[in-house]
Amino acid sequence: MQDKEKVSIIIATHNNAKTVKRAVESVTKGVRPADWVIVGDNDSSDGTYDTLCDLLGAKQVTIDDKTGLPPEFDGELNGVPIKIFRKQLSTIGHTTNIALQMHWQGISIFGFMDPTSFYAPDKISQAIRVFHQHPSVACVVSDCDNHHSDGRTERVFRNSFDAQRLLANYEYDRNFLVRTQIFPKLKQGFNEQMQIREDYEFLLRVSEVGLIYHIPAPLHHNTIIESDEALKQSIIQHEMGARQLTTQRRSS
Amino acid sequence: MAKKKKNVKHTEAVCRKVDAAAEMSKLGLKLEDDLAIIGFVFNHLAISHLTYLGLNSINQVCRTYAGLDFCIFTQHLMASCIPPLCPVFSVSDLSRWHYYPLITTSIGTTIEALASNAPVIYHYVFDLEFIDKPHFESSDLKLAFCDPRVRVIVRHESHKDVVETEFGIKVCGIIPDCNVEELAKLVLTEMKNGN
Repeated sequence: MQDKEKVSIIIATHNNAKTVKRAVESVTKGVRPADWVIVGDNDSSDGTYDTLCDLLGAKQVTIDDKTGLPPEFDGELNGVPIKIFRKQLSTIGHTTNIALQMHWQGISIFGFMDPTSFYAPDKISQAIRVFHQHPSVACVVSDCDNHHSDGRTERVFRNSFDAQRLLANYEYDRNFLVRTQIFPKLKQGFNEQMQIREDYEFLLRVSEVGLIYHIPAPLHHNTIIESDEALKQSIIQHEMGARQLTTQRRSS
Repeated sequence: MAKKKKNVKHTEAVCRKVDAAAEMSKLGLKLEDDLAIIGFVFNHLAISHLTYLGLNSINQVCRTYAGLDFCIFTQHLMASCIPPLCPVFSVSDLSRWHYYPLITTSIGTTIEALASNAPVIYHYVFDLEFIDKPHFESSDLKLAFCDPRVRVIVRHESHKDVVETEFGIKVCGIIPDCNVEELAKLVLTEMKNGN
């Protein structure tokens, strides 16, 4: 498929060794692969970074008599340049922002991806079609398929974007694409203070500068991992925090 | 005998008439037909995927077709995300709506439209609102999809399958992105055919 867009996919990982390979492969293949992929590892302890180094063929290096995997590595997979890096433990929002700043010149569309998910072959091409068709669209989200641990696959039908509905609850997930031009209007990337749900807070801000377009087709796949009660409570609190921030911003 | 001089303005007028007739035929209308009016019922006109695309498309059709008018009804009167080029009324004015078709855009607006005298209500299912939404009473849901006056249009193939399976009805069209020209074509053709 011929287009003039430059698409960069950003993945921030933290203990996703089992799923990260599939995630990266999904954006380097398909109808319209990404032009650039950046994977930032948030100090994983399960060998996520080792998996990434294996995938790209990164060899051990010796720095100051210490031998280990390189902290940054530029490789290629299926002809798509991929940059991986690891950093000290912080929030996923912080890791995503660092990845965003690593390679932004010439990029016209940024795609964000949950490392437990993978894109359908036509997700990037469908998003580009929407961006071309509707100049006011700032972000493209889509439906998805959820893959449960018991082998069940569930088709998820999401609602289209409505500013009030998005403020009432989080409709989407981290797998969306945005135009690069919106970042100067947003004034900042992801909220680095938020431990989780920084993607919700980001989408709320995006919705204030442009339209969020919902494609009603399952264009990505999520792996559903059972979350404990503490995590559920934390999600509720962080979503509430994101709403409060938005309400304050809008009222001021 | 001198040759009759060709009236340039008349020729231009004939050309314009031919163009206008060709344009109207795209919607299944003829120049001599009465003015067609289509009502749209939205929940609100503030920023959303549906209202943005819908209003843009309505404005586009208003600029293109002279023989087709629109009226917008909204449940919540608030500032519109795009200034519409057609009149906007509150849903309470639906009681005065006769003869012409109505296109509703949600379950709530369809229920509201059923109280009007509109002969046919086209429920344009933009979102599958009934999934995981226990707040909708099952009788309301059934009415919004299965009432004899309601015809259902969806925006995606997968939505068609779900609606047809869930309610045991036949969806009468798939029109993406609230394309008002396509919606008008479908609605006016159905009306002309007396459905």
